[in-house]
Amino acid sequence: MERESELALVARLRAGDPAAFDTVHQAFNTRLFNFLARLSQRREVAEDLLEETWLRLVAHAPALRTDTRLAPWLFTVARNLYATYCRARRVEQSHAGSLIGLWPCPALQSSPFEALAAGELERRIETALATLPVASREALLLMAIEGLSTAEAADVCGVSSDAMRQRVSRARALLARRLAAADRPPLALLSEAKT
Amino acid sequence: MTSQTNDPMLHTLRRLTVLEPGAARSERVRQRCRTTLAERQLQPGRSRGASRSAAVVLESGLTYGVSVGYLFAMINDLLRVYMRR
Repeated sequence: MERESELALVARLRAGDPAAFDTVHQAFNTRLFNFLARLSQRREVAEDLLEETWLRLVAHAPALRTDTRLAPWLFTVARNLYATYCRARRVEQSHAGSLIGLWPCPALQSSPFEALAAGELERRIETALATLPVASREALLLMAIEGLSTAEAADVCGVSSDAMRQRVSRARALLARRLAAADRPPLALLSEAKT
Repeated sequence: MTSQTNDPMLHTLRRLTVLEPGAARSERVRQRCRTTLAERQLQPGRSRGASRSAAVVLESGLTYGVSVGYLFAMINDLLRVYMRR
């Protein structure tokens, strides 16, 4: 989305134009859902948080700043809603990580079509991604998958750009380690453990 | 991000299957949001203005009420002290 058209869209949103909302919804609905689904690991939770994100946009539309960047704004709201959800459920990051680790395949591929479409490598990446700590996962989701800039992703997560760069770098290394570990056959791991 | 642009792993991440939200629910949410915006557009500031003027009237009424009450209490006390003498 070009900056000028984004600014015009923000102005129309502030004025309460439903057509402007349609445009934003069309541009971000799937992106936000992907972010929330891979963050929460649950389709129904992602759907609930997605709905709440849109309701927040409508509620805050008149008060939006004229220079609002929609992508960071929406992803920040979605992320904060997920954090609130986690707090409400008292799901600690480490505990969630260990729970997710118990499932060999995350519950993202809910339809047969999605399961078929996902290749072996993709399935492994999805699984490894699901086992990353939330901070690492969200960094990769925002920058690698959603294509946000370092500054935008840092804004969303409430950290500095340098911290975000480090976070992505660490997340990438962790993901690579998890993938490498998943590649090794169980027997090799067993013999390694014995020696 | 420039150094990471050619990273094969990040490239693979970018090509992960796009997950689609439920179409029916998405449409329901979109319609709900549209309706809210449209209603707000139809009554620009009317309800906000009405509630603000109601608040002003209520605030003034309370101020007058409390002031008159205080005045009467003061006069009452003064009269009582005067009568004792």
